[in-house]
Amino acid sequence: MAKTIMTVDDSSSVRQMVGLTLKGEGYQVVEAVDGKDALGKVSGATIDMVITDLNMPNMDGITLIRELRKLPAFKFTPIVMLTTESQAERKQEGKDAGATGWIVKPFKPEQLIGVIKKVLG
Amino acid sequence: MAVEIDTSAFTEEAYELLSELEDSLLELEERPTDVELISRVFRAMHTIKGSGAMFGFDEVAKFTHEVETVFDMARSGSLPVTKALIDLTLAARDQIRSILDASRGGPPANQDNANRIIAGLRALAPQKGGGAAVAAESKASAPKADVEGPHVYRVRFEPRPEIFSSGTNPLLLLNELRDMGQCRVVALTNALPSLEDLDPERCYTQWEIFLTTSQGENAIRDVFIFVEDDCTLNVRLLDRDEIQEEAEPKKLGEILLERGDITEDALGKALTPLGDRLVSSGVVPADKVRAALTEQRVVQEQKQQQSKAAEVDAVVRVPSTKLDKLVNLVGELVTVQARLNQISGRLNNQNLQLVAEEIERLTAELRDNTMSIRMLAIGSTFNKFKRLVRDLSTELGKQIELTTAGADTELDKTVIDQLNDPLVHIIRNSIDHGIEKPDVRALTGKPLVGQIHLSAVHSGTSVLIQVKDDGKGLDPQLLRRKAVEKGLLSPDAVLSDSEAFMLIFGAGFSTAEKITNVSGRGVGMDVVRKSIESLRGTIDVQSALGLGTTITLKLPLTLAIIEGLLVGVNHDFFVLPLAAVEECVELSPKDIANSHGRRIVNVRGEIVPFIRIRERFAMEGERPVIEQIVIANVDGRRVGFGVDTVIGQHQTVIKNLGDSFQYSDEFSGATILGDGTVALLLDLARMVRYVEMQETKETGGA
Amino acid sequence: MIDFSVDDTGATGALILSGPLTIQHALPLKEALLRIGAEIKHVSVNLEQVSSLDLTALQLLCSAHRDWVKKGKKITREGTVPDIVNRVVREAGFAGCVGGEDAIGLWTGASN
Repeated sequence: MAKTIMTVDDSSSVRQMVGLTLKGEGYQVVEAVDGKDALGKVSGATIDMVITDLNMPNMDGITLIRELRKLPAFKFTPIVMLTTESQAERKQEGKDAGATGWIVKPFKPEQLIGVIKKVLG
Repeated sequence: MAVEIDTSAFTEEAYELLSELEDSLLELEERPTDVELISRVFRAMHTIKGSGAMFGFDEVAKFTHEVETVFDMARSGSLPVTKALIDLTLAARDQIRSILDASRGGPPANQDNANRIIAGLRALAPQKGGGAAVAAESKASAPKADVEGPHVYRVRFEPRPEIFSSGTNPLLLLNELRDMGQCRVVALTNALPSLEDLDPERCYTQWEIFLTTSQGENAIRDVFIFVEDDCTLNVRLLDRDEIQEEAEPKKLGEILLERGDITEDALGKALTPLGDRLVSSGVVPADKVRAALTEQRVVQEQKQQQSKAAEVDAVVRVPSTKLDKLVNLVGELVTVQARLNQISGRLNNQNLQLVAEEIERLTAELRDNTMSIRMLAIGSTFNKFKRLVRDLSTELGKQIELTTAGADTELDKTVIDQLNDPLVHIIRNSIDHGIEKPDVRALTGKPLVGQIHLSAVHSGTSVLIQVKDDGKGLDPQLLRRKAVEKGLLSPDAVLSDSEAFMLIFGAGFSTAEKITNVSGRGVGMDVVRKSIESLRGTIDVQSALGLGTTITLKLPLTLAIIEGLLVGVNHDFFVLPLAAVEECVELSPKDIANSHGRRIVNVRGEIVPFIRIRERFAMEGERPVIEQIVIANVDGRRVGFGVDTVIGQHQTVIKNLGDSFQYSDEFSGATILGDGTVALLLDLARMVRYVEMQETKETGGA
Repeated sequence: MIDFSVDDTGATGALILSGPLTIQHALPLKEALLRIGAEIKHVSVNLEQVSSLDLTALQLLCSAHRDWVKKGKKITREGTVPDIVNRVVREAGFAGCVGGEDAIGLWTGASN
C-alpha cells in the first residue's frame, strides 16, 4: 500500500519539485500551500508523513507542526521541516514544536529521499 | 529593506562562522586526514550557504555552494586534502568575507577573483567537474577517507523515553546502520517496566549495535542527526588489540568490566562459567551479558589489521561548572589532608600515620587526575596565530615564517582561554616592531624571511611560553629615552637593560616611530602584563640589539592549586608564589646598620631593595633580631620581601577573597592551612608597584 | 485489531492480534494485555494476521510475556508467526529478549 506524504509550501516550484520526487518513489502526494490549508486537508485523510516549509503566509510551519501534534492521528507522524535557515535556534524551535527532522534548502532529490527513508522507512 | 535587522544577524553569524572556518582550515593543514575537521569545515560552509540564501545573500550562497561542492568530495574521501585545496578554500573564505563586507558598504568584491577560486577548485575535483556533488552527498554509498578497511564500532544508542512524540521511529535508525555494513543489534530491555507501569507511548529500550563498516564515526553519528538531543549516543571504535590478537580475545568478564556493567568485586564473586552465573545471581541483567557476548563474537569475527592509534576514546562532555566543583572539592580535600597529616604527626600513632600517608598519596593522585581533566593542549591556540602572521606580514610587506614547538603542551583550560589576547599582542608586536622589512634585512645580512618561533614547554609546575623573533631587537637606550619623554620614568633613574626592556609593558608606552594599525596603539603590551599577572604568571624579556627579542611567559599550570612559599610575620601567615621566588637570605642588625635606613639588602654584592611585609600592612609586633628576606623575581627584577620566618613550601589551594575584599588587590587570594589558619596569597607585582608609587610621591614631594 | 476471549472454564484466554500493531494502537493493546488477569492460567497467543508492528508493540509484548512467566502462566502459540513480526523482532534486536523459555516463538523466531 502506497504511503501518503503531504507537502506544505507556499512556493509552487518547491511543491512541484518535492511532488515529482515523491511520486517517482511511488508515494502518494497531497499538496498544501500553507499551514492553514494543510490543517484543512488532513482531517479524514490518512497521511503518513508531512514535509513542511517554515516561512509561509497564513500559518507558518512551526505553528502547523504544533497544531498537527495536537491531533491524535498526528501525534507520532513523522514531520520534516524544510529550512533554509540552518541556524540552530530555528531548527531547535521546530524540534521543540515536535518536528522529526529537517532538510536544508537547497537540497537534491536524493537528499529528500534519504530523509524520507530515515523517518518513514 | 524590511529585513535590515535580520541581515545583520546573518552577517554577524557569517563573520563568526568564517573565523571558525579559518581556524579549522589552518588546523586541517596540519592534520589533513582528520575527518572531524573536514566535516567541521564543511558544516561551516554549509551553514553560511544556507543562511546566505535565506537572507537574500545570493552571491554568498552561490559562491559558497561552489566551494562546498568541491569540499564535499574531501568529506566523502574522493578528494584528498592538499595544500592547494586548503589555500583555495582559505582564499574562498576571504572572498566570502569581502562579499559580506561589500554588503555592509565595503568595496565591491572582486568577481574575477571569485571566478579564479572556483576554477581552481574545480580543477582539483576529479573529472565530473561542476556536478560532482551528487555522487558525494549520498552518505551510504560514499566510503569515508579510510584506506584501512572496515572497523568494528560499538554504538550505544539510548533514546529518551519521549522520543516517539517527535515522530521518530528508532527502528528505522537501526536499519539505516544496517545499510552501512555488517551489523548486530542487541536490545537492552532491562529498563522495561512491568506491564502495569508501562506507558505504551514511551520508549524503554536501549541498544548496543556492533557495526563492521568502512565508513567513519561521523557517518555513524550522521544517522542519528535528527535525534541528537533526544538520545545519548556513544560510538566507540573497538580497539585493535582485541581484534588483532586472535589468540586471546577478551574474556567475557573483562568486557563487562571494561564496559562498566559490573564491578571487579562482583566479578570476582561470580568467577568461572560466567555468563549464566552472573545472570542468575542477578549481578548483571541478561541482556547486558548478551550484549557483551555479542561484542566478544563480533570482535572475534573481525580480524582486519588496524593500527592502535586509530582507537577513539569514548568522550564524555561535561559542563565545566561540574569540573570547577570537582576541583573545588579536591581543593578542600587537599586542605583537610594537610590537617590530617599535622594531627597524625602530633599524635604519633603509627596506625594513624599509615592511613594518613595513604590518604596523602591518594589525594595527590586525585589532585593530579582532576587537574589533568581540565588540561588542554595549547596547540589550537597556536594554530590561530598562523593566519595572524600570514596576513599581518603581507599587509606590512614583510616576509615572516611562524614556527611552533610544544603544541601538545597541556595547560589549564582557564589559563589557555586567557592566554590568547596577550599572545596576539606579543606576536603583533614582533611582526610590527620586531621583524624588519626584507630590504632592511638584506642590508644587515639576515635571511629575508624573518622567523617567529612560538614554543611551549613544561618547567616544573609552570609552563614557559616563548615568543622568539629574529628581528631588530630592543634598544634599551631608546626605551629609556622614550619613557623619560613620556614622563613614565624620572630622568635620573638607573635601569638595567632587562628593566628597560620591561618598560614596553608600561601603560601608554609605544616606541613605534609612527603608529600603524597593526600595533603601536600603545595599549597592547600593557594589557599583556595585566593579563599575565592576573594569571599569576611572570614575563621575562631578553633582547639583543639587531639580533632579536625573546619574550618568555611563565605561567602556572593551573589556577586552582599553586606551589607557594609559606612565610610568617608576627602570628600571621602569607604565601608567595613559589614560581617567582629565587632565594632566601638573612638580614642581620649589622646589615640594617650598613644600609643607613634604606630598605636594601646586599646579596653577594648585588644590592636588592626589599619591602617589609610588617611595615607594608602596618602589622603589630616586634621585628625579630634576624629577619628573613625572600628574594623574588618581579617584572624582571629582583625584589626582596622581609618576613619573620620562612616556613617552607606549601601546596596552596587558592580561595578567592570575597567581594568585601575587593580593594585589597595586593592579595590575589587566600588559602587555608592545615590547622585551619588562613594565609593570604601575595600579589608581588602589585605590591611592588604600590610601594613604588608611594615612594615616587614621597620623593616627588620633597 | 485486538480480540481477547476467555473460555468457559475462565482459566484459559485466547489473545488474537491482527492488523497493524503500531504506536497508534499501543494503548488498546496494553489494555487488552492487562485484561489477562490472575484468574487466567493459560494464555494462547495468535499473531498470524498481524500486518505491521513497531517498537511499542514489542515493548508491550515483551513486558507482558515477562509478567506472565513470572506469574507462572502457561503460554502457547496458535498459528504461525508472520514474517513481518519475525523481521521486526530481529531488526529491533529483541531476539532472546526474555531469560525464560519462549513458548510463543516471538523472541527466538518461530518456525513457521
